[in-house]
Amino acid sequence: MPSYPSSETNGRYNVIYVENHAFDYPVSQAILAKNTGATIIRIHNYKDVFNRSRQNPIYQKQHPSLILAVKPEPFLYLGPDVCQNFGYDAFYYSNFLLNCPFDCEYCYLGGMYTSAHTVAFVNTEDFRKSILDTSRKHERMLLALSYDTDLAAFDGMYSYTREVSGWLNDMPGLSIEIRTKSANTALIQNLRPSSSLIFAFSLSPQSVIDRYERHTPGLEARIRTVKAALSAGHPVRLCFDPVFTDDTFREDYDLFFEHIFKRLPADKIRDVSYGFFRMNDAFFKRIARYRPNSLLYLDDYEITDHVVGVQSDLRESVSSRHLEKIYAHIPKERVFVL
Amino acid sequence: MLAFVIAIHREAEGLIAHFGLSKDMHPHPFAIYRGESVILTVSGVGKLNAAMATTYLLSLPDIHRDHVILVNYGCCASWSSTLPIGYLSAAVKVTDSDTHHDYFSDLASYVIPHVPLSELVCLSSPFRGADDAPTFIHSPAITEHPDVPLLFDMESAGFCHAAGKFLHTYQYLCLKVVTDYGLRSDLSLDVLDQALHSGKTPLLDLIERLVANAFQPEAPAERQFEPILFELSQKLRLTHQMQRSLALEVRKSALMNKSPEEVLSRYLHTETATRQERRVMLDALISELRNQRPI
Repeated sequence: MPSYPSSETNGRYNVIYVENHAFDYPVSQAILAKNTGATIIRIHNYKDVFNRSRQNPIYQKQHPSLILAVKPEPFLYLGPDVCQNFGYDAFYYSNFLLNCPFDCEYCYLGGMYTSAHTVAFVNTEDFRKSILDTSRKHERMLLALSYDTDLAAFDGMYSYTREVSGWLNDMPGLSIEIRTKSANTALIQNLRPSSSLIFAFSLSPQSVIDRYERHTPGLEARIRTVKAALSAGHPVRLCFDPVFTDDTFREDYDLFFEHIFKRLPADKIRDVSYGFFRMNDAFFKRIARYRPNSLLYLDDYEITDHVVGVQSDLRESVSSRHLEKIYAHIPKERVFVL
Repeated sequence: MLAFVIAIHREAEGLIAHFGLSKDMHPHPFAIYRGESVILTVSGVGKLNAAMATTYLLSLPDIHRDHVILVNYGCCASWSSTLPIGYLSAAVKVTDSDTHHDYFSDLASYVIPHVPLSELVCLSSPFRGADDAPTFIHSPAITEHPDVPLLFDMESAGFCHAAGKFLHTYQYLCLKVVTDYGLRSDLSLDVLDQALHSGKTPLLDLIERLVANAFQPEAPAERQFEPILFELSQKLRLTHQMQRSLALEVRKSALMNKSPEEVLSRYLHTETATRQERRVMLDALISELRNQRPI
């Protein structure tokens, strides 16, 4: 059982900050209609709230606020090297949302942003135009939409996923990945499946979830959601990322992989992503300061090109053990290792 | 610790009496009142005074900034006459009418169930009524607030600006009581007294909650070993970087349910003469901490 209750968004904001020119967007109106109990505060620019100095993300996770804003350009960014591109030369990511309703200890967002409040960009039409323009320049393009957030977990507030799925007909070369820890089965079941819209489910042993993934659904709930996605015909990616090498998890991972492939039909899984805990060193240091007692940030790592990561010999020994179990069910060409 | 910045003594009287504060008779540029875990300063009217008094208070040697809840409390005017005199609210947003800079308090969203929120505009002169308000206040962006009262004072922006330099966003808050709808030359002091009295109980309830539920960031696990760490650092003449490395190892050791003090105390009687000896000793100490078995 998870240690913390799930925090998928359902009218949970006491205060919603709204940029003056964001009010009239349909996305804003939809979100505000779901939060009639919230205090609405007009602001000039989301950065006035989001970029304040001396914020504490841990306090803000306990008392979250929402900020509705109009995003200026750019709307797309090149996919980072620390993330898997799944064989696509044209790999981009985009952010409808900044920050996530969950509170995972290992998450880089805590180091990248000075605030843990969620920013929701409401000018989705601008995003659509930019994505359309870029997708036309490439025969095949992968767009990750859920990196700096968990888009499916925000669905109760506004369904960006549903809106984006409606754009896909105009963008035939585009594949979109929605990465999630959410157990939002309703979204999965009510969305028309498309080969271009991939649900990537982050899965970890329950002991890892209990230790590091606060407010997220438990493993069994996520497995049920994966099964629902497969039944509904959605392309499904399994993300075993980040993997932790702590000795206390050793047996748990062994049992975990067996359990996953006992519960899920491997032949129906599109592909698998596997990677270890890694983070930009500046983000790492920032998080270590406000999580001083997290053993995760006290462990020994190696730093290569400003990326903090598990030591290579440990990566080697752990990954060979895990990949052996994964390859027993998923062909190597469908397993992407970072 | 609970700290207040209040413009005039009249506004502070109720809190001074309630907390049993005594005036600090040492010479201070601003009147300071102290009690057990409570400190209050009377700043004078205006944002500059509020900023200076806030800075001064937070710079006092006995103030531990990590553990302070700082409140700017006082009177305000209301844009709308539908708000009753004595209406107490917490400012979630403070706007400086001169610079148009906005300040936001994360503590305000915590107090919502207990006290309503407001938007506060900090003026350089007393609010005389809607017709005399600065131009920017008449924009729909400011006045179309169906839910959030628009209030006016003269200290909040200075207070927030100073507080934001020293404290985290969850540590300071403006609490204001409506005393008028625009300053009239015949404002009665009775109104001021009544307003403060009718706001006082919700105010004190709220303050009690703020103190009882104050957010405390995690203290590093090695803090309990600071005395022995200090002594050891002196004995071994560790550099700052060495002290930091040792502290991190002790923290890790404590979090892994080991007994770092046992290891540290064994090194208290050693001495080092050269830098190399210090390095060797530190490495041995760290190695012992790592190899120690959990309790």
